[in-house]
Amino acid sequence: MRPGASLAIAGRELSAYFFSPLGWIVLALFLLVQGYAFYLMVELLSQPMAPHGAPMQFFFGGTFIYWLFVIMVVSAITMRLLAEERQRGTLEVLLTAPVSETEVVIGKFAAGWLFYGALWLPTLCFVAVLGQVAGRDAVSAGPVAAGYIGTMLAGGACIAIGTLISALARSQIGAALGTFAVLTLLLLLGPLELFTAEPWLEALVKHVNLFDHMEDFGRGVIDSRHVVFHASVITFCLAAAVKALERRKHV
Amino acid sequence: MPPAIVATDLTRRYGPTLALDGVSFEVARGEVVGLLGPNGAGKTTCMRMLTGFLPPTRGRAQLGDGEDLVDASSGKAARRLLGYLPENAPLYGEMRVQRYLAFRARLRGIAWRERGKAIDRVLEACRLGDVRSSIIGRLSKGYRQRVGLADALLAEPPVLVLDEPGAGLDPNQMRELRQLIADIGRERTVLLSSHLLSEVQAVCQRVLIVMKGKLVASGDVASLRARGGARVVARVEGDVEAVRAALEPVELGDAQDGAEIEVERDDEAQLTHVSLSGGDDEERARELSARLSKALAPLGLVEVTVERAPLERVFAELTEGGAGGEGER
Repeated sequence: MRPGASLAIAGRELSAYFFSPLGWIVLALFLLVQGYAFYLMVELLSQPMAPHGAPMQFFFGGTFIYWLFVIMVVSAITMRLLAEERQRGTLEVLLTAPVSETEVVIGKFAAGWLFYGALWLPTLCFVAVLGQVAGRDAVSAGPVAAGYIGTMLAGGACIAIGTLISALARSQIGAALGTFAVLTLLLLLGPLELFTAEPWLEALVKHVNLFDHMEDFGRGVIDSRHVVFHASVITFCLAAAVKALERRKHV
Repeated sequence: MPPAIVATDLTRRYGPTLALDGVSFEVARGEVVGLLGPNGAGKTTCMRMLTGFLPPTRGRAQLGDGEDLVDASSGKAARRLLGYLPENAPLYGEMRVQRYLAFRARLRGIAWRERGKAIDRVLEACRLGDVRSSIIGRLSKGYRQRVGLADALLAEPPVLVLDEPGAGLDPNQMRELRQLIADIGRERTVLLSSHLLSEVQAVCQRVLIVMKGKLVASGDVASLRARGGARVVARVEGDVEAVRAALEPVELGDAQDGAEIEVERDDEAQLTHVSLSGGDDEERARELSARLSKALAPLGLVEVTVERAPLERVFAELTEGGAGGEGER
């Protein structure tokens, strides 16, 4: 393992995001949607009948739409990671350089994750605005920090799943659709919990539902179980992506 | 000389199709060898296995720099020995030439202190100095091919594998590329593929011909040419009938020897062309030319020459005439 190689790959990938129109489009749309969602949420919460709670808790993972949009963004970020290299033929150049498949996958994943983090960075303004307008009491640092940590962890798991699908897909569009479908399915597993009578299925669904884990983070609780869960999803998906690259199924 | 590239019974299947079938050869250190064959013969598959990009279905691909050989599929150890230019030189189009080479130098583990020097060296060797800050996607095919080659040369690898380096180049670019490969070949082992004979003929000491996934011939350019035999050509003032009559009593070998005589009148030049094939070797060809000149002398013989078969014909015969049976393995 040579970290320099992964760093080089991650650096190139990140700069490619900002060199391509896609990167800026994703960034702009992301801010637009998050900004609007934030506005709506603040408006709703300031109604007299509004549920009681800290606004940022609802901002992080409170709504289904929020997740759907994150899933779309993750699909757009990860589709290019490996599928684009395969489509352009540059995968051959990359994998015949003295770098290991592990270094490639880690570098690609890191770039995707960092870009995802960069998308969220401007939303810190919302916290600042809220603090200014509603007073310091409305925003407590703990839950906000936990919310961001949770968002990064859940995002990391989604990006890892996307990286794996990107390693398996023949084309970028295939990778995007595959990632979107798998993550949406994971999201839709949530409601299943309410309908099933089988305790084991309920436990399983509760465990694998990526987004269920967000609830605690939103409340400001960093439970090690959630951290371990996300870390293991990331590890498993990246290891599988390395295997997929090593197999050279479609070159 | 220990070999730098060894292919042993190299075989690759894509589902039901056999892309490469039991190909074995060696390339000695410092040799420049051409892998020649029509499109779809298995050249790219062969190179992908030699560079470790594709695992062989059967057989082994090994690379070496010294006494020991390493398996091409053994990852970094093999990849460090190698500079590889894949077909069509795939590159990141959005990057600038110098940035791209800096990225590749990092991947190749060149220490940052030496990176600048290494990049300057390959930019000069590949004559890319004036496009160093251009965006790769906007370069012409010839330049892009050279950027790929510059990348392959960055870490000064002992073995270079170039897949169709001349594809899509104009004659000027082609000549420059040939010069470049000849320069590289003075210090390194080069295996390059092509479907064009002229390209291979100009730079390679030895040629491997693949056809439908099999190695059908290998040897240096001269010996391959000898396989095609020689042809005796004479030009005479006398007309076709007179020439035929004069040649009637002359023993020129029969059809079983593959002898074939063509007599044709060139009205414009007022000459009759006689072309005789079947001289399997030079000696036989000289003997035939002596007989021909003796018989045709009274008819106003202008000239008799022994022409060696162009490599094009050898190649055409090998790759089209189902010559697989007599092929060397």
